Amino acid sequence: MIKTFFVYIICGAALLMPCRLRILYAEFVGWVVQGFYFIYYRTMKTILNGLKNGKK
Amino acid sequence: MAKNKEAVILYSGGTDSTCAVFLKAPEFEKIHLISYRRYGIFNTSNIDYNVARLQALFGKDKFVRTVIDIDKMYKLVVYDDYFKNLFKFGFFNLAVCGLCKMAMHMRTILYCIDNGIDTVFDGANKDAGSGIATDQVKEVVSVITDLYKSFNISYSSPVYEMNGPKNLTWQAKLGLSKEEEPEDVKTTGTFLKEKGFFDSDNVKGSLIDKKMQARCFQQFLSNMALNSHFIEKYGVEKYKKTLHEFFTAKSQRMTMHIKDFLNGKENSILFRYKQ
Repeated sequence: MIKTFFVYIICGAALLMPCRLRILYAEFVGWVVQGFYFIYYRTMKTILNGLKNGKK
Repeated sequence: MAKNKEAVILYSGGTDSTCAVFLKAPEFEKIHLISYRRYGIFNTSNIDYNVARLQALFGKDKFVRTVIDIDKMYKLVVYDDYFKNLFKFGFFNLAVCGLCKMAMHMRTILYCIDNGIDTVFDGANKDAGSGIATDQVKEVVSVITDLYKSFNISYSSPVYEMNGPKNLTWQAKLGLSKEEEPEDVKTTGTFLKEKGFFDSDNVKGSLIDKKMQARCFQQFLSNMALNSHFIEKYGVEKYKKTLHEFFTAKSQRMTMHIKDFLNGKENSILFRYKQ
């Protein structure tokens, strides 16, 4: 339900935008999503490294 | 066997289109390597990295290198008949990759007509984007093939049926498990590794991949709206069916615009949009 709401807000807004603004907006959303992936990946990697070092 | 004369390859610099060049270059006297740039696609000069390597391998005279601006053409493809499409297809109007690729194909048709070429290839692959990429699913590729056919141009992808590389799981990316490609699976990457062009059989997503391709992040909106919303709600079959309907509608409009342009109609919209 919350996910659908966010999809409608974020993507619905894009449907109403002119070409260049939509491109910039899509780029911005892309960077935010990549940012989340990166933070998730780095956090997991750090935790795993900590666990590995702790085991040693 | 006599060689065909000339063909166009839509070249992105990536693994699949490079593999297409390897497969088709021996069959033609000259290959036109066309790349496209538009507002929102960055680092298009990265593509030249592999172009230079291909020229060193096949000879400089083998290729005609062209980079064309499709800024206006993209705008036309996305916003033509927009409100009708908005009510009929909703979020499918955000299918950036499919729409961008259609603009590229439209421009390629005009390029072929200008240069008297009747054969076009690209690196479309059935497994791209986990098999649901808006520009490479079979339903959209068939629409594009028909678009070319209306202008007596043959279009195909020599790598379409080749397997895509295995998507790595999070566990594998974090080094928790090791996932290797089964040895008998033939991908575009394994083909290029066998030819000695790449050191690894899967460079997709790697640093070297980023250095040889243009960069674009705009597909996330489409991924969000279509992959994680529409497909979850309605399933892949309905997604592919609607994608087919959407691109058929687009293709019909674009065919009309190109025909108006070629017939020299003064009010043809392409006089304003062709760059």
